[in-house]
Amino acid sequence: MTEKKKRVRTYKDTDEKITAKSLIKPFLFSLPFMVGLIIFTVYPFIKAVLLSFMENYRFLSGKFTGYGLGNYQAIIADPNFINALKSTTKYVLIVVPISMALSLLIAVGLNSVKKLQGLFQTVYFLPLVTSSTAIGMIFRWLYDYDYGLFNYFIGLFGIDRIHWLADVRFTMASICIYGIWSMLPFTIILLLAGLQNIDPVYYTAARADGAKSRDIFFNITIPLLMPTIILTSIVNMMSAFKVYDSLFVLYGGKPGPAFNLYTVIYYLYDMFWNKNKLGNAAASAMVLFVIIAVFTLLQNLISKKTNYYK
Amino acid sequence: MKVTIKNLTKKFASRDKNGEPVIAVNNLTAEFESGKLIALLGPSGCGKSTMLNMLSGILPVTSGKIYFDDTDVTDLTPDKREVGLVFQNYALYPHMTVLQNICFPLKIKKVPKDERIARAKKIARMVHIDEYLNRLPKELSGGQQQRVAIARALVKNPKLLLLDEPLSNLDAKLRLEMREEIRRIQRESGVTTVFVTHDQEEATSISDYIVLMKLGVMQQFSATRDIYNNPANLFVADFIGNPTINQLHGEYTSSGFKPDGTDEIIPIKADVAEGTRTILAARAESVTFNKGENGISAKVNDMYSSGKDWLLNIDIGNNNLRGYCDADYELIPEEIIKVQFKDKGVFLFDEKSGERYC
Amino acid sequence: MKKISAGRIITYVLLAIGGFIMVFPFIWMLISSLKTWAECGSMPPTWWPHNPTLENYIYAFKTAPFLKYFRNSVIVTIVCTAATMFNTILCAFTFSRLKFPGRDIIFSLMVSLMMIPYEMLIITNYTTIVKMGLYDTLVALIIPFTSSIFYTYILRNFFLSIPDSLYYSARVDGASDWQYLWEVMVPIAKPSLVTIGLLDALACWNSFMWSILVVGSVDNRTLPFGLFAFTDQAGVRFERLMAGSSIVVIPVIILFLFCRKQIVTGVSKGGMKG
Repeated sequence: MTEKKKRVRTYKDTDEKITAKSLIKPFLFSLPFMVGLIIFTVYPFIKAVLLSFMENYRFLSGKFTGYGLGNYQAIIADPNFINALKSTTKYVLIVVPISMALSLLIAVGLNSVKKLQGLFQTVYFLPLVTSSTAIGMIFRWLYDYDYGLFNYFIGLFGIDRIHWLADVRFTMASICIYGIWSMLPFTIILLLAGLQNIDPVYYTAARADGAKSRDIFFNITIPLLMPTIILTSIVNMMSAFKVYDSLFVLYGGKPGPAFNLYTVIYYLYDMFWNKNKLGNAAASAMVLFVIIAVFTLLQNLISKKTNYYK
Repeated sequence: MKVTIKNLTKKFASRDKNGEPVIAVNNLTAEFESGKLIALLGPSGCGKSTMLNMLSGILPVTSGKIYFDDTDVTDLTPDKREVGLVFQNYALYPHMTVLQNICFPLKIKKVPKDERIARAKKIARMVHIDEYLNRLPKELSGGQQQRVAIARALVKNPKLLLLDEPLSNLDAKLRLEMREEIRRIQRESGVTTVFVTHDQEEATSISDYIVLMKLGVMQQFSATRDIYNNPANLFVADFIGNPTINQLHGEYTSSGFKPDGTDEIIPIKADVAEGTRTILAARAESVTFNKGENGISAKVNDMYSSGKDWLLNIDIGNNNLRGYCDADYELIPEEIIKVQFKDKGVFLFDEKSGERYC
Repeated sequence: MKKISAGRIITYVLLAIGGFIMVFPFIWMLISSLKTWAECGSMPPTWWPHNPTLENYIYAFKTAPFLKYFRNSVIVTIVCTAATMFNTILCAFTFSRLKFPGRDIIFSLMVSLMMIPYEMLIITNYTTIVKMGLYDTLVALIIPFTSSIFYTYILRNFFLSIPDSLYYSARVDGASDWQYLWEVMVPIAKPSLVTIGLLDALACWNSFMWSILVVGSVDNRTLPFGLFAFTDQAGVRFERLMAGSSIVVIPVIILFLFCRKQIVTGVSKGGMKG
């Protein structure tokens, strides 16, 4: 018998032969998932990328005149899109830092108390689980010009009633109040988890060294929590950048007075749904994707670099 | 059930530091008699666990055959081999009670529930775990967990029971108790059993046969008593036995063995060319001392206790060795005494290859 | 008696005030929903309804088919969560226990897909649903969401932490891969699965924008969409809108009261991954 050198591919760890039969099982097990993933994530993603480069795409016929940067030029030239980018950025820059600061205070407070933990948690985390439609509806009621509680309260201080949702000067403030309020629960949860991950040994050691509560907070808690704070900020920036649902309800599906609540996603939906400009919608989606991708990469980079524990 | 292993080889794709593919088990052939307790023994990395995993079907073989009685099981998956397996960490299902754990193999086999429970309880009694049937694994001690693991392995009446380092997760006292228990349970169930261990004492104390391996190669396969009295090579002689066998380096001459550093000669006969570099290996109990004239001269160093026995540490030429002495031996350091070697427990090996000459 | 420091009292007071702000909108929603039209429109507002009435709820159920919305929401949530769990379990098993070439590379590719914003996909998904003939059906609200990479990622990590010896034990005990998965892995992973299931159910229940796109008829609306559409019927009658909001929110609050721990751990576990 001559020994023929046949190349058989094998698994590195067990030297098991890779046969067609051994591939059937993983294929069948992951099939339902993969079908869904390919049809509703991979395919539309590729399609959206292509679409953003298609010139003069016709929705009904599916015809287009060629590939190019026309859609990108169109949205950059569209003041509405620039406006959307601007107001989204403004929203992110207001809402994220304020909600981070408030959450940090609340999280440290929650971490320091022993009694009523459960009750506090229930209360603070409730907005997280409730529908943004309902919450949007409630805030519409609170912001109501005639009978809303916000105007009642400022009335107590002798301030005139405000058209919270209609006066261009106040709309950003009103959506930011709403945005901060709804961002708190998630942020608190993450910071609380970060705080609970800090080994009490550090506190004991600091106390033994004669440190006061304030020193401990600034010299131990904050530095050790820093990775969590940074990561939470990034996650929050991403979600703030995608703000839409809540505004949609708050304004009953309209973009607000003078289009000043026009966010990037609002623009995307508007181009796609109302104006039927799929190319523009896809191009704005690509811009969104790039922004989110940059944040994600940043997040991965930081979480790899700052893994103190483990 | 008889287990026959023919030319079994396992190569891994990973490479050692010389760039050679790792051969975990190299061309191993052996036959395990039915109803016996066989130990797979060797230092870590010798391929003993790989052997066990191939017997259970967890690892596919690279070449060679495994037969259970006359059936070729080489290509059968673990679930079709009808073997029982106990892991070092016991691998009990954490969400199931003791009873559910023991019943699991029968449940998979679709044995009716009543019969399942009856059989599980019977086995549980045999391994003395029947008081804890409703506990979860985490509520049991290490020894109890192990009993459950053995019960689970035995409940389906396997043809072969495989134990992977069954005692190494237990503390010293429990280890002694459990190894006798394993022996008892094996005798009572009569199942052919293969167990993996790196501890030669564990292997010699309970097994009928020992397979001693080194770097994937079987060094010796013989009855447990024989492996001590009749080692196949220097590695075997060195690995088996406590205290470790004495090794004297020297040269073979026409009149016997001449240890390095002395001109005196230990009389021994072997079929070796004169002038060959050899090692004389002698068990501690084969070394005797006298303050008279018979034997080879040695210098006394020290004396110390190993439990009930006393060992005398001496130098013969450049070689150091130890032998049993009486507890009331009068120790005079640096004293020159005479040493003799018994016939039994003394072997001559090639210095380089470890091959045995006599 | 233990000495209670001033700092501790201040902490409690501040936490209580903060907590009140967080929960107040919901309390106000419930209070308003029990008021009459006249009372709801009075200034200064009353802090408790003079004549608590269920009138607004009756109105909501009568004028808009809230019962049907509710039923639709329940169906969509249950079916979607069940299907997602099934897919997630099988996929996490494939990528943790089964063997095939390129497994880890494929999985990291899948993980990188997580950064695609969902909004980017709606354009094509809408077309796909229409082409499949599923426009304006409950199925359209379910099938795009049954393959969650995020949940698979969490569950796979858990599966990877289960020792190999358990798998080999089960195999030697005679179990097939399928049996091992359902008899051993799934029961052990129960806490993780409960968390994932709860998070997914909440997301299904609250899902809103997609349903506006793919549901046309009143019959196939879910609660959030129904509530949004209710503004057309109820107009600026906030006591009625608050009743409608309560119908959407109360089931979730009840769920949250019972499963707070699992939900909170789920969020903190998954939060960092976006």
